[in-house]
Amino acid sequence: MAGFTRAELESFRDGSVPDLIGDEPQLLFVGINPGLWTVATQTHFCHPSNRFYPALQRAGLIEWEVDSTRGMTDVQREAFVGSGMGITNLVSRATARASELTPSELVEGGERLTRLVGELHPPVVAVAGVTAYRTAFSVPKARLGPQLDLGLGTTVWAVPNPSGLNAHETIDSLALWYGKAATQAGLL
Amino acid sequence: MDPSALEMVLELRDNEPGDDEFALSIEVTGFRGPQFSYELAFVPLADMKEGWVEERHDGLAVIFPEVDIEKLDGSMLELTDQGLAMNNPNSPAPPEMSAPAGDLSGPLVDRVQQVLTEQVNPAIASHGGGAELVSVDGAIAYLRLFGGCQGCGLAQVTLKQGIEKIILESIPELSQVVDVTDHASGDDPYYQSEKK
Repeated sequence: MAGFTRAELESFRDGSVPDLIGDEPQLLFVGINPGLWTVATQTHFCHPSNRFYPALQRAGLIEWEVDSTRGMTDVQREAFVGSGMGITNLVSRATARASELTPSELVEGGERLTRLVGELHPPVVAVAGVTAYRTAFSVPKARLGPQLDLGLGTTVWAVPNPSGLNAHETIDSLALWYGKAATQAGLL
Repeated sequence: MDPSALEMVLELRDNEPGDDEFALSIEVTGFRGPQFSYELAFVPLADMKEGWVEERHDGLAVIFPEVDIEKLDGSMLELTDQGLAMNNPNSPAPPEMSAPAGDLSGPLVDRVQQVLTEQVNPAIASHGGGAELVSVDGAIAYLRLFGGCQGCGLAQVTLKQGIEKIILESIPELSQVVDVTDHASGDDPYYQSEKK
């Protein structure tokens, strides 16, 4: 796994990565918070073991692969937002593990996301991680699938996190969830 | 752990930042359908909590709560082309499934019935099985499987990949299909439960 040394990765702690959002996003994916590898490559969900882009590809939402060492190319970024998708995070602060976040950071992240949705009006928002979703929106029993309507015509989905350590999901099952959200957003 | 999973986990671990030794922590967090659900994470070995045990797999420390030993006994962490997967011979005690007392009328119910009659049941009839609607509650449809589907270990797969897919694709207002079959009993189950 060529890429970064432990010391290099450590230097990206508390860094951030800008949102990847076009003018009129139809489907806004929401990560929990950037990992160190994501900050290093300035590419959301970027890690050699992360299955986000392979699942999008399987779902028929993108036709290209992301080089996990270099991150997304400018052409790929344009294609991504041009197809109506966008990516933000609940919390912008980078950590090695999502468990390093405090519940209050996630709740603040949920409030920030609600404000962002109010500005952008994407038809569908897909939060990638049901556990983080539960904390951020104070719904401890939320399950995967469509959730509450945030008003303004946006439906929020909780979809599974694509992390390589999520042993419940396969690329196929992730593709199924992302595809469902994309279908509702009118992208498929 | 199968060797390829171990190799992948070691590579991931070696990319964890900092100088601490990291362990793979595996915790049973509940169950999802007929299987346990797990949380896998890297944590500094030095932060291992009380009541947890450590197991060495070559160069990798794997830690898990003592209370989960029985649930994880005989499990294998495997690497498939789809990612990591837990292959666990143990399964949770079947939950008491019940459907909310449902109203079996209305246009949504009629549409689910129609999908079952026209698309689902003809397809699974060849396996000697069938599905009936128990109720619809909000965006969730509760089904009971009967005949050869009842007690079949593959019923969840059939439900998830087949029946649920057809129903959700046909009826976008629904978000979930739940199987409330008692798979341990029935007139013609796929297997006879030992407890019977």
